[in-house]
Amino acid sequence: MKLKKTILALCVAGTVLGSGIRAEAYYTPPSNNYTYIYNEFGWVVETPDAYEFAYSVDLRALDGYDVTNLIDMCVKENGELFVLETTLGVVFCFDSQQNYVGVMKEFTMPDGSVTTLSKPEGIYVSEKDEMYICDTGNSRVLVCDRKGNVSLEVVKPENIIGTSVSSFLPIKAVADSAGRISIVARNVNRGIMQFTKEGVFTGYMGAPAVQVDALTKLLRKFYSDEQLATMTTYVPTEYNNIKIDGNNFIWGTISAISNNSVISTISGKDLSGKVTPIKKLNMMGTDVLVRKDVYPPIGDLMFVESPSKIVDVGLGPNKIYTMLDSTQGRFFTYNNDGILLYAFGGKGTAKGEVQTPIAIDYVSDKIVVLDSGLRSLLVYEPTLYGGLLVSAEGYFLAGNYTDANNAWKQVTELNSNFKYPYIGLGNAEYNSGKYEEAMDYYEYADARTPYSNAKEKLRKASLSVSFPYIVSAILVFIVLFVGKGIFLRIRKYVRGELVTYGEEEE
Amino acid sequence: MKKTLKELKYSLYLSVHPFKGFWDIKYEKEGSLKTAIILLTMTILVTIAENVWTGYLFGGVSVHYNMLLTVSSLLFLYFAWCTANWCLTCLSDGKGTFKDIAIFTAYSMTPYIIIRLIMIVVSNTFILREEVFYNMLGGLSLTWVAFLLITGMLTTHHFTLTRTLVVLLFTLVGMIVIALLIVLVFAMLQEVLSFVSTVVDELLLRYS
Repeated sequence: MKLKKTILALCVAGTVLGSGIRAEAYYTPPSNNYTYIYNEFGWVVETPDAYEFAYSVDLRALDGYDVTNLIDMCVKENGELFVLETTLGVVFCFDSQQNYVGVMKEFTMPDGSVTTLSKPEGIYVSEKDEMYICDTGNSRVLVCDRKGNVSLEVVKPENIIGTSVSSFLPIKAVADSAGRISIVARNVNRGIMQFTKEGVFTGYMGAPAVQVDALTKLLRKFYSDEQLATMTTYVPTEYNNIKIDGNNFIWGTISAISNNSVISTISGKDLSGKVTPIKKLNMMGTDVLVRKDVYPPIGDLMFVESPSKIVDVGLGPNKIYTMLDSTQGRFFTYNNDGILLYAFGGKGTAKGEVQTPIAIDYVSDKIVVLDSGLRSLLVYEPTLYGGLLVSAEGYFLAGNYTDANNAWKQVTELNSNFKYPYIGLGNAEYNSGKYEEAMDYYEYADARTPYSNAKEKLRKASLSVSFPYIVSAILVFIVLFVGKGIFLRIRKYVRGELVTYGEEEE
Repeated sequence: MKKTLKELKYSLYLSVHPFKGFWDIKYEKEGSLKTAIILLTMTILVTIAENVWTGYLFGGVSVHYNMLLTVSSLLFLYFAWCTANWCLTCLSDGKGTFKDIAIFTAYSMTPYIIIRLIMIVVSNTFILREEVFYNMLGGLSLTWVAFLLITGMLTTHHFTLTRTLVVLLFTLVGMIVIALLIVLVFAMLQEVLSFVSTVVDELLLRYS
């Protein structure tokens, strides 16, 4: 293993020297499956396990079906779980304990006819128990209730503009609390398609930016039409998955990002979100994801061949979110500020390892992963450490600094190599007015800006005490200084020594 | 003792009246080598103090601080500067002796000592927003010293300004050459030592 590592390191060094790319993007964590974070230099720091594998649910021979091709999963707020099988075209339903409750195979159209699914690829179930099934093979999205009674069929809009794609291939759909439907369709690269509650197309939203480098742009100006025709056309990258949270923000994941742009984003510590595997879109289609850490949420900062390919995001409690990386089979959990709390998981055949993870979601604080290779659901439960981190987030967001403080204190006892809880402790002390304690924590976490703020507060407080004394000292000094001069003049005058030049001449 | 104090006080006067000051320490017996050594020691001490006591926000506390490194590097810089300057001014008709150079260089450090002391205090009270003033003080200390060094050379060696600047440039090159020579000598010494030790080892193996 040691030798292997050395060889790898040498290869990496060679690659780096040869290509002139920064080293940090070309190193892989030595082991396959352990929990880690990245420090401010982008190096792996091992942490205690935040989540551990609890149990798995075997879906291979569910209810007599020959399950071969699982494609999507949706979890409702109350934990009810839906799994979509694409070859059979059926939806398996589970309760909040992942017990199998039933299958949906046939759907009744409004006119009473019965229809089935053909190669469906996406499922979403709203809190009002409306199911949105992307029936990709039939070029439609079915909106139905839990009994399979279809209330709406969204088909290819007639007023669709700006696309040469003839067929409508919806792959993922979500609906907000007002019933407006957002659909990601294959080969539609204008962004997320927006539909009204009645299924009328209204426009696109949140188109990812086109990534063309300056040289290509310049060269294309000089190419002939024939040359241009042979070149690959540059199209905006597509969303591969969307989720919607309780506040109607749409979370889109993007996996079609070039290696070089990921490397430059990591080495440049680019927090602008120009190159990002994840976006949190508001109703206007603007990315409002908070990126407050040193590095943006982009998955692995160190990798050997290709960066993390983010295929799904699970929206957890207390505004944390977990991105699913299908290349390494890892799960990256970030908090509301975009700080990496923990990354874990990995591909393999050992217990708790994944093979082809395709969907991730939270059932309360448990993480459920759908693996199409293993054809099962994997359930991970938080450990003491992970649970503390997650609950501290909640306390802090709710303004409950005492409890947040306690949780973070315990986190630091379990893991003293993680800056973030120390900053959290500092913030808690700062908010309760204990600036000196806050400064100690900030210094320990090497957080200069908050340290400076705490110091300013402290200085202001001490200055308001000492300011009168300082001013009176200065005044006394001035009075003595001036007074001495006046006193001397008066004394001279009294003694008759004060003579002006005029008098002297007389 | 009293004379030394007077000379130290004179170094303050020199900082603001460099032309008269440098002339006086050379020709009017206002300065001495003893005071120069004191000033040099103070420079080293202030640099160490700066490394140890500068506030966290400005450079911060390093756990791995090595005091000897500061001492040796500053002493090396000082002697390399003096030697290189002496060599070059000798060739270009400078009127200063090595002693004169050693004295004016140490005296030129006066503003550095004072401003750095102020900076240590200030770094513990300033916040990040006032960083620019802190940096300004640092820049001021260095430019003042540079100005004093130029004036000192000008006065001590009876140079014109152009000649001073040219000699200054060559002095810097000379310092680099000295550093290279020292490295070379050490490398050679190491080779020789290892050769000797190998021979001794061989002899021991053969005759024991």
